[in-house]
Amino acid sequence: MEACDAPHSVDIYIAGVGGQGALMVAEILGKAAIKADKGCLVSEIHGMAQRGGVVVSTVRIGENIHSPLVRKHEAHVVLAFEPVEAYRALELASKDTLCITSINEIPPPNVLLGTATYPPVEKLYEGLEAVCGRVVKLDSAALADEAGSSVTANIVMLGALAGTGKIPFDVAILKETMLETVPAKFREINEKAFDLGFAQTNQ
Amino acid sequence: MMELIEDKVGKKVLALGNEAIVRGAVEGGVAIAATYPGTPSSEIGNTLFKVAKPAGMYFEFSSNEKLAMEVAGSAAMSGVRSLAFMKHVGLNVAADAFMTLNYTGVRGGMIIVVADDPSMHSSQNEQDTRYYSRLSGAPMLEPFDPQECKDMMVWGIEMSEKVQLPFLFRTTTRVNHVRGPVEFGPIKERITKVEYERDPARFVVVPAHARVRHKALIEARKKALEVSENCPFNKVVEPMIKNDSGPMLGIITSGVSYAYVKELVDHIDMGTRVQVLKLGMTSPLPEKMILNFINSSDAILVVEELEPYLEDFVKGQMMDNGIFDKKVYGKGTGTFDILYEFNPDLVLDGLFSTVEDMGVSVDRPELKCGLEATDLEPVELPNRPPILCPGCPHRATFFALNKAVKHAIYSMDIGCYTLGIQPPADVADLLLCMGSSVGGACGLSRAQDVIPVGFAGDSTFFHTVIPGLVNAVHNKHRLIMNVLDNRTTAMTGHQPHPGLPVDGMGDPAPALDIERICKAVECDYVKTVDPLNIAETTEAFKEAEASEGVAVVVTKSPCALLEVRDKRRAGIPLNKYTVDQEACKHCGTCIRTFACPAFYTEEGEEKKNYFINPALCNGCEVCGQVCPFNAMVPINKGGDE
Repeated sequence: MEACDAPHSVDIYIAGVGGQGALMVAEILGKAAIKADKGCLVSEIHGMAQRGGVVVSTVRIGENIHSPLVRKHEAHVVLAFEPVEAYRALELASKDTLCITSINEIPPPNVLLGTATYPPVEKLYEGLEAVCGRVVKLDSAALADEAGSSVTANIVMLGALAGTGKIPFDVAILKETMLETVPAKFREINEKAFDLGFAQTNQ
Repeated sequence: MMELIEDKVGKKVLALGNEAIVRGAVEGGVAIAATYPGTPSSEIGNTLFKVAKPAGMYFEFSSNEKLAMEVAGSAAMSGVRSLAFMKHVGLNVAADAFMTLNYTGVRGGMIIVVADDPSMHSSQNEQDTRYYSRLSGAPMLEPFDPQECKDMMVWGIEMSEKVQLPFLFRTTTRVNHVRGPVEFGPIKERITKVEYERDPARFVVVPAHARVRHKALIEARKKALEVSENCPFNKVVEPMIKNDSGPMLGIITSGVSYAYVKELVDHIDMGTRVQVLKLGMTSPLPEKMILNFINSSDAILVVEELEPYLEDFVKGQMMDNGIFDKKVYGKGTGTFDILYEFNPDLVLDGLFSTVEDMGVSVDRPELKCGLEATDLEPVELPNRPPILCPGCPHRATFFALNKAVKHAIYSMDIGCYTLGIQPPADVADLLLCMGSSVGGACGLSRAQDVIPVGFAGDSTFFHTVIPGLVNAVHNKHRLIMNVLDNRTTAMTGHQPHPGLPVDGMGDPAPALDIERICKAVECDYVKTVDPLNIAETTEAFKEAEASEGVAVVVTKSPCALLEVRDKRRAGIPLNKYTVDQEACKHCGTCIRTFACPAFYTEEGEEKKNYFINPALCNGCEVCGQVCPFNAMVPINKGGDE
């Protein structure tokens, strides 16, 4: 769990809202890691949390991994599906962290009811920029629409993660695993979603 | 999922702890399995639902945990290897059968998986199941990762058969819900049926037999202790980082706590010598192994979530053996808390404070900086509690109830509908456990004068509510029960129940009718309505309030998630709604009284404007009945899907 940026391992913290498909992304990463003959652990929270609540998972890829969780400020990557959830994940981040966040806001119901307020997004981004080494913001919903379906926003995020080069194995294996995991008839649009996300971060 | 039953030795897959448990059962020759779903154990059942039949096993969703314990228990008493599984509080329901099952013991190996939920991610308490092993005498295993989940199942079934006792298999959320590599072993022969060999002196626990059987249990525990002393999952582990100086800190741990300890001591120098005793079989605890470990350590740190179960045993061993010169760190020293689950930061802090107290000078590694190191004020974030989905029939039920019954006291139960605690529904005053709604309403009807309204889902109705209705009728309690029948066990991931025409094997099954059962137990008023029809549902609740005795309103409409899925599969478009901006009077009734998560507002020039997010709308059509100005209308006004 040392915060080494060794290319052979990565600790990814994935944060989203129930129903966004964040757990599916975690599972694809784990499956691909096994296929690439890497050690890995994926920790998830299920149950109550899935009814529109916060959904978080930790994906650790590398050797000699035992703990399903990472220590504070030790995540190499924060992959956030929503700006407030990206900010909430800051306790896992440091200057050694790459943060990829969707800019698509999902106000919780208490905001709708007027009992809470959604913070100004520029304040959220200011915090992310101040703490994380690098912040990538992307409009995953628009990219998913471009790919052909709004439900592929999670695969856009996975593609963006792959594009950063932080995955310690061949990205082709990740893509192939993703295509095996999604329903057969949606393969094409998911492939497009992955590629669109990939292009956002791969410079 | 089918790869979990492949007969390929050495194959490696990514499996959830719960899936690994299924693989272990498949390898270990389990032939009969039973459960009542409960998080974090639910995926064991979801997996068996798909693989039991091709694997040649029998699996059922029993109507409650006690029945699951009895089904699997009698199978093992007969000599067939079996598996019962449930969440921690499910064992309370099953406890009556479980306690005495240890007196009779089993002839076929039996594993009872009990999933604890430290931090209560989705539970009403965080009781520590390990005390049940002490209470009952059942031996206990505690895996720490998916591979061990699989391996321990296979080994545990053999050992259970050897000592003729059922084995508890205690997991926690961070074991059940962790995915990791699992390497397959060989699949053993599965004996699905035996000839029942009668032995009433053992299996019929009349007092005369029970006295003998309690003695037999204590004898069997001695055998189990031998098994524990030689258990391959109990072992002393050396850290990867070596430090050959200073006093020896002996860390005793089990379950996911071991995973945290192992990784920390492998990578961070504690400034002194460290050894770890990793325990996998935690009842009976390996006395000799623990004593040797204590003797070879200068101080002991016990790292365990929840209660000081290991710690108390360690202290007892030290007292029995006259060891008074070594300090035991843990809950007693305040090094760790009884509350909530652990994480690596918390465990690391406990490790450092222990070595510091031992007089070791150690450099704590510097924590990396987060927001606190910047000059920015932290932004206040809105909470994001779980909510009822758009189109959820429960939201419509609560809306109609609040419209019909103005003054009531609400006895809640366990399911998605527990979210009725939130505004604007706000229909929860008490809740204890599965089935407590009706019993709670019975007491409320005697202790105060406001009419009690109890809630139960369809699965909960079959779980424990039926006996409560019998009690309510016979004892002449005055109450309204609302059975929210959404045609599934929704919260735990859509498992079938006795009200559905399918069973745990995926075979057709008789679907029991809730209304007929309520009538059969002689409830005074029983009516079934469609909650998506607000007028009809409101009327039924009014009638129930005007009736006498025990009134039951069954609000029957399928879970929105299933409804949407089925419509998508059938190619039926959802009748999505929108706000007719000309008809909208900006009154806010929709948000104030109904609050579908698909609604949103934007500040207009003078007033707030109301909208429906078409991506979230599931087309339940209820908002059209909620708006007093008929401003919520189908997007496609011409179509009438």
